[in-house]
Amino acid sequence: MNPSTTLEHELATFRMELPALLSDPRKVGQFVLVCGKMIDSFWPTMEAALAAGYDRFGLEPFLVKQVVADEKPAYFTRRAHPCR
Amino acid sequence: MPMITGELSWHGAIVPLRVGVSRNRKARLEHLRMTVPQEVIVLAQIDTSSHVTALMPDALRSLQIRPFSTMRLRTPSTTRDNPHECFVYDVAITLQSGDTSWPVPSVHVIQCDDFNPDEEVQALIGRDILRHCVFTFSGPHNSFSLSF
Repeated sequence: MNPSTTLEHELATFRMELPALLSDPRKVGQFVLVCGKMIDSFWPTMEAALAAGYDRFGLEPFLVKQVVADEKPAYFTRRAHPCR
Repeated sequence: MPMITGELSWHGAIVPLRVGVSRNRKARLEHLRMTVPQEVIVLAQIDTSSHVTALMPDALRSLQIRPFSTMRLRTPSTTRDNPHECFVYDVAITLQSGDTSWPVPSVHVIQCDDFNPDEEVQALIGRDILRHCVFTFSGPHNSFSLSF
């Protein structure tokens, strides 16, 4: 298996839905669980969303992202693989 | 606190790290009666400047895992206003000191292949791990310690 398996559908779904999610104050700051082209659920922490992903989707690909308008970048001291 | 001590090498403070699938993924594999990939052992450079821990792609490939998220990342090769978006993977890591091990069942790492073949390092430990540790760098004694 290539570790760069792309989460293409999940990322496209998240990007498409993000403006609507940001317009709902109850969703802002939550962690959204996405599988395929479906928004599945919202969780208060990354760990909770990740555990739910394994419970609901097993070994199938799923995406966890925080609902924020501007994701703060982390710093890394070497060159890293961009995913797009 | 268990402690790893060592000499500083050309590449700085280097510690062995066991890397396996995360606790959640291991439970899922066992539930499905599937084989759990064996842990891999890598040498990791301690890097207090990096937010995140990173592994060579080979290590992630041998664990047969997919990314579960992405992270915006600034690196020396990105411009200030245009960070990369990188995949994030869920793994378990274990630090070992003598007979004492410190397992961390879920760590969110990125992949990085920016290690030279002659470099002894295949991973980098960032502040996501170090925030749980005490790290001492002694230049005059050419040594380091990592307590966890």
